[in-house]
Amino acid sequence: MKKGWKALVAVLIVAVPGLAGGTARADGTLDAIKARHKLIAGVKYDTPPFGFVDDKNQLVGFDVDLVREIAKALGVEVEFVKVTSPTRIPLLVSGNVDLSAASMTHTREREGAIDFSITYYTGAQALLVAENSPIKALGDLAGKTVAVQQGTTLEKNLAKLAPNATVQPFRDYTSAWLALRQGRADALTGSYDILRGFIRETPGFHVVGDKFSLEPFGIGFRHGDWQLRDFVNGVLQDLWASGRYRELYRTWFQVDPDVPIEMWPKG
Amino acid sequence: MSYVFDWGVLWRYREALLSGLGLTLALSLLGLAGAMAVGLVAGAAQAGERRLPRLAAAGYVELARNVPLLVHMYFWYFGLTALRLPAFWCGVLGLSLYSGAYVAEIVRAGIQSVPAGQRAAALACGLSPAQAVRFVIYPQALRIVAPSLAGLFSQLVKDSSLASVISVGELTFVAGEIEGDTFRAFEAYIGVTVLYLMIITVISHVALRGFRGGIVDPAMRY
Repeated sequence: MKKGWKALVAVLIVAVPGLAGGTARADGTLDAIKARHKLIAGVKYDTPPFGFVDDKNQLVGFDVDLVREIAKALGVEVEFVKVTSPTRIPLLVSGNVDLSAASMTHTREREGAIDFSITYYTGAQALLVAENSPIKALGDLAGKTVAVQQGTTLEKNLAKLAPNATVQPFRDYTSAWLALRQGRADALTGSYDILRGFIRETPGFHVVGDKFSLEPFGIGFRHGDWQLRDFVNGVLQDLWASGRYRELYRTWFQVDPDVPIEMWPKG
Repeated sequence: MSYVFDWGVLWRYREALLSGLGLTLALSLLGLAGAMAVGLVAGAAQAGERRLPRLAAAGYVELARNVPLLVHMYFWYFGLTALRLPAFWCGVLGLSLYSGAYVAEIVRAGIQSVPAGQRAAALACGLSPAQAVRFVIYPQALRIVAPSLAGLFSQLVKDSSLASVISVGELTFVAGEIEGDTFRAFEAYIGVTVLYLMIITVISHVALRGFRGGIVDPAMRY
């Protein structure tokens, strides 16, 4: 056993400073982007309609389009990096991506790890069930199994609003969606527009009941990366003012945005 | 650098981590039991002389070993939804059948490494064929393969992390939960890595000693 402990300590001694040493300095990110003429953005590849691969094998989505607009405003090219839940923060913090636009809900707890832009999209939580399901609303969930993505505000909201339901968390949205389709779960809860993205290709399911809880999405930055964050906040407001935001929103959600982007006076 | 580590997050999630640790251990131990049961039978069948069991065992080993463990997990959980097996037992089944194939190969190699004369001598002494296996061949074979089995078991503990994809709340799953809540991916995954390191270090020592001593020696006294 003694040997085991020594090995453990050795691993930590090697690993932890390695992590620290590999990180980029945050304050120069905006300059670094301009110097390399390229914005590197982390996006999801499996979350329609925010970031996903379409039937022509192209990366598309609302998050993806917003990042393209940010790059355009910066006058640089854009490179997309695929992120997943376990990798989105390490890739950002270690400097492998400049920002992360990965349908992330902004919470106070999460602010401990990264900074967020202003809210660029406000999601509403909803319930998805099979068309022949007896579940019509939140109140019908007692004794039912509800699939949800783990570690999300959605999971906590559901536990609060439907205390008699069995919350079955999955590592990602796609597994939770598979659980509903395979009959492992009676319902799937998630962001309304993401649920609609899923059922667009798969008939036999529908969204029921009222939408509940609000999910403010923010773009993620490294702590202290205020120049880039301010720039992106400005771009989001410009997109709203020019009507481009509404255009993109209609493209991906088929409706007009119901929550405006917060606007700051130019001064 | 701009990122400030907050290791306190592991303490705040200690209950979740402990329950994850418990599930990882339960998965691993039940998986080990299942894999040993399947592996001892299949390995013996492969080393045996009868054709049908030998072919059946060989077929199982090839099939189970050549399919990724991830697919084993999905198969039991999503593929055989009609059985309504709880996620935990799907994980145990997946681990048992996958690792069982490796145990079978190790056991087969162990049995074949015992000289044929040992069996002949045991039978000549008046032992039944079953007794020859139990008291003469297995004790020697197990002693030879003990290090491989111990290694396999630590592999199995690590493999149990894949049960997280079918929503079994073991350690890796808990790390995902912590990451999701707090975005503290480094702390969560380094934390569970250290826990894995500790259990595997302990388990591989205990397993090695177990296979060498506890299981084999009482039989050797005969």
